[in-house]
Amino acid sequence: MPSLDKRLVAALVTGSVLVGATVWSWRAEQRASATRVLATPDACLVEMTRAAQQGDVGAYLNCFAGPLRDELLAQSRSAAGLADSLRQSVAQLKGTASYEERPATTDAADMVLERIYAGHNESWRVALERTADAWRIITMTRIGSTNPPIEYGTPVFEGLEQRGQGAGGREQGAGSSEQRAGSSKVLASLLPLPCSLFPQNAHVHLLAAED
Amino acid sequence: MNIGGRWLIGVLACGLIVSLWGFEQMAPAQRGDGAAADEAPADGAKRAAKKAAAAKKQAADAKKRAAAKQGAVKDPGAPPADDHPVADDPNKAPVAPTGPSLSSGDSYDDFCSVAEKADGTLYAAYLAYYDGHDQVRIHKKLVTDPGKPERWSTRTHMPLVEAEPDIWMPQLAVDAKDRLWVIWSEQVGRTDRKSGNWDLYARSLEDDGQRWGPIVRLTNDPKPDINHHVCVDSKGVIHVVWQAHPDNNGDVMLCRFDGEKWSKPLAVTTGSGADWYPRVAVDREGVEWIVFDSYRNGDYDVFLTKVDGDKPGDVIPIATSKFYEAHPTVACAADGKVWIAWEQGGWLWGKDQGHWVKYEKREIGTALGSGRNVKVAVFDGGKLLAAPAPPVPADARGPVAPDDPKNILPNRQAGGTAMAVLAADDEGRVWLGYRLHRRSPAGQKGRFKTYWTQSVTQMTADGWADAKELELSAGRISVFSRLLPCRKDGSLHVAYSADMRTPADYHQPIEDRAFVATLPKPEARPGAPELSAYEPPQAPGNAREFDFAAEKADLMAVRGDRREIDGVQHRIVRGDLHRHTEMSWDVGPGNDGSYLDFYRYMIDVASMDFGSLTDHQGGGQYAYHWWLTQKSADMYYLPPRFVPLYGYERSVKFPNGHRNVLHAYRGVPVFPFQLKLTQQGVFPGVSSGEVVENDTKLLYEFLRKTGGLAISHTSATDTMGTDWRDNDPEVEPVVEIYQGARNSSEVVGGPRVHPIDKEPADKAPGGYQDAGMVWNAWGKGYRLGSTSSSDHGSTHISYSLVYTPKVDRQEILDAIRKRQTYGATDNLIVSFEADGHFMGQEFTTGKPPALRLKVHGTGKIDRIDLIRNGQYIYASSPGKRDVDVTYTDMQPEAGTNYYYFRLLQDNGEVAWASPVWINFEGQ
Repeated sequence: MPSLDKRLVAALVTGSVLVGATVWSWRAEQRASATRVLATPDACLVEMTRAAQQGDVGAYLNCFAGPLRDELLAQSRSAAGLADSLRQSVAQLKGTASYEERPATTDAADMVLERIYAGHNESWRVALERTADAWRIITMTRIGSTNPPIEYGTPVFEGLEQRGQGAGGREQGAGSSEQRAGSSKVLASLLPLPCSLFPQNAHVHLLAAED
Repeated sequence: MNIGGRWLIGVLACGLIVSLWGFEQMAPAQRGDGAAADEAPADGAKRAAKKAAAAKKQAADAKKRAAAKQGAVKDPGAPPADDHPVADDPNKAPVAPTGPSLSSGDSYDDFCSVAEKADGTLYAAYLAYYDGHDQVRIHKKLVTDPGKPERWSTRTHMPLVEAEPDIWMPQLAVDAKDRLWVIWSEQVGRTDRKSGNWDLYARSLEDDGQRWGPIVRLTNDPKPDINHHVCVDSKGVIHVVWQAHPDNNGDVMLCRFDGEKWSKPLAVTTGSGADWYPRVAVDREGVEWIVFDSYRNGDYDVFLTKVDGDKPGDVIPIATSKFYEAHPTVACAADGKVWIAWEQGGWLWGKDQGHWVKYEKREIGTALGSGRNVKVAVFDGGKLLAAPAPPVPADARGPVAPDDPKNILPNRQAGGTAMAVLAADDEGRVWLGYRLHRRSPAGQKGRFKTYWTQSVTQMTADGWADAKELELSAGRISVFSRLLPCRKDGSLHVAYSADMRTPADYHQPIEDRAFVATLPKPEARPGAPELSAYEPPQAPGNAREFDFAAEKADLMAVRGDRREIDGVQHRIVRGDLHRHTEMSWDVGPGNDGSYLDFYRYMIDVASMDFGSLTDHQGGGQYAYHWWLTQKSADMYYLPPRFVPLYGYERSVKFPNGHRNVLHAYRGVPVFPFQLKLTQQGVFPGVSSGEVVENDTKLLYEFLRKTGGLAISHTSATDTMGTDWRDNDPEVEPVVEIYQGARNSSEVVGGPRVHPIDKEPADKAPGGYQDAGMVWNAWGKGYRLGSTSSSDHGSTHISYSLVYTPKVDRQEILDAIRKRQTYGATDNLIVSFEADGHFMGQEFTTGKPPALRLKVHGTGKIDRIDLIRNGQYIYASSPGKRDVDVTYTDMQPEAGTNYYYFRLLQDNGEVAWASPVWINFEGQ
């Protein structure tokens, strides 16, 4: 029996070590993953938008740094239903396009973030800095609203369909509601952040789609 | 834990690790997983070989029938019906050659050469393509009674290095000891999976024809040693010059045989300028005069140099205008003057031209088959003098002289004279042979079918004498004839080949044959008119300049770009997967030029990394053309500088559609049209609509077995296009979305798509129908990447760009199969990925996908369009050359979404990225 006890103890110890190692490895991977998604300025902007859509407050705030993050953090503690607000803020957003406004240095980047709505685009200047192997937003400033060369959702086979030669149906998800949504007036130009949480840009509150 | 327990755990752990490693190392087939399908091409190759044998038999049968048909045509230029009857009975022996034809009717014969022994005995040799390999066949001219038809011995065969050889340009020479030598280039070490090495070899017929001596290997460079030329001086020394590629770049080399031993190769030219087709003649002082053409100045020019002993002399510019000046020849006359001839073709040959640049009045260059004429000059004491151009019969003259300075760009005035060959006899007479362009009477739509014949003339005090157009000489432009002045009686022996095409179908070969014609000594005394200084040709009145420096910088950027795809570094290779030559029946030797010039264009002018000659049905289902196509793809296999694929166009009419077929390895037969049994005649032609309903599916089945790919082209035309009834993503992974010769097939209203709102459909080259627009294919869920290529005539405005890990045939084909491609009209760098998945890939995600486009333009990017499922979802006008934009699609549709970017520069250049397909499973 003593030998059985020893084997039991050994098994328990081994199991504990393995479980511990797995948990440690998983958490390390989670940390690395969080950093990886912010590995470039572009990735940070993509993550901010995705986090807003998912209502993931933690991931969203993780995309910011400096006083802006502190301010957002402070407001997030006082704002009720922040996750819902985040989701709602991007509900009408069709997409975002981001590109460098000027070549980035190793630690700082100035990006332009275009937010694509049905009928118009809205541009923001975003400054990011690199801290601890991750890029984070430190300021966001609205540039203005523009009309794109081709409106979002413009179909290309309109003419063909009228001539009865059709494009053929898509195999899945055929058709789109986006073109029909184009005319609806919605409060679509919110940042992926409730504007009330964004004090230095308070003047852009609740812009309408026509803006 | 006791020691034994630790050991047990250790052993188990090691066992697990070793097992896992072993599994990874196991062959896919052993693993039994889906990757085993990767092995299929090997089996496919065996099956293909069997099919090749069957196809070979079919081709031989077809050839016999065609020759029989030819015999029935009342052609005054054709041989009598009983001259070389093609045996319907396979046991019937071929007839012995009489008259000028040496051929026996059981092979395709080319590259005829002739040599004369001291007693005047004449020998002839030629390459015979027979039973899936090349032979060197040799004949001796027999003594016949005066007035009787000349007769030649039954052929013999000279054993070559390989059992089933692949050879190039066998040539005869007689040395100082009156031995007959054959000097040839042969590919050694080739397998179906890889090209071998081309080296020069020589072998002599010893003891007055009693035995063959050992094979002497003249070269051993691991790159191709080809395009050699042999001459014998007055002392019997054999001189051989050739084109070597030590740095994947043509260099001129020289060696000699003094009767005892062959010298080591001597580099006559070196450096980065690509030197082509050297020819040598030796003067009375024993100095070798060597001419060659070169792309060293950014267009083809002719140069002369001399070698005295082992010292190459300076390179002397002979013809260095911006016209195409190439295929030179040289002869040293008895008076010490060096005669040089070459062909002068189009202005900025091979640079930008095609339908849309013509439409936009931006044409810069001329087509590869643009009009050309032989020019002759004399190098005399350091001065270059202009000699008269060779005579062209009135009925063979084109409407406009190609180099008339008042002319428009001499783009589509195909014709003239070409492939000059000079010889000088002991009496001081200079002979000139050349190919003469002729065209058939106008056919349907007023189009001409064109062909070339062989002419010979000689210089007199009054200029060139009337030329003799040799009988039975109709054929390709790419015929290397040989002139041998007879020392005994002043006559001239002309060795040439022809393919017996008939007036009914002057674009269609029947049977390649070898000939030796003897022209009697001319009555006119040798001489030459007074010659004046050579003046280079004037530029055409509307000539445009080309920015070579900008192109060089753009190409360096493309070649320097590196991109990691699935953890492996990739580079971009630029190619053209749709080009034709003289071997296409629909146009014949018209705007496309020779299959030889295809390689010049691809390697030098367009600086392609890969590409394929895609003549219709591999050259009209004509076995020798397909053999030449494949052989030449091995000869110019110069990785990483240039990698030729094996290809052909399979032209099934709308609605099935034309497709180019590509293979990474040799020996796969051309897949014939699967005709309905409603046709008459021997051949269906190069295009057919009378195919069985599942013709395209049968092609896919064939390509799956043989590892090949098909690419649909001009899909939105009503002649060559398709209604997208068929696709197989494994063997038809990409589409030629834009074609230089015609239009884009992307979408109605897209850039370079036929402007149907401005011009009616019948004004579209190749016709128009919009069911074939590629967006329809994508709309049907087809996984098609984008490429762009040229087709007939067009040059330098359409590129297929492929991200590949290695510049290798199979790797490039695999990368195309993965759709890691984009099409462009210029040298843009385009990279498109979605969440780390490169263009061409498909993946599933629940997150809004982030699509990243990186572009380095050749001008300012005027417009970016991002298309998802047939809708524009993002458009912008960056107005700069470098763009790096990430688009996050917040509202992808449930199910499969396809996305791709299209770019338009402010100078009109366009690029089409391949799509990514994203299966969206999110909310």
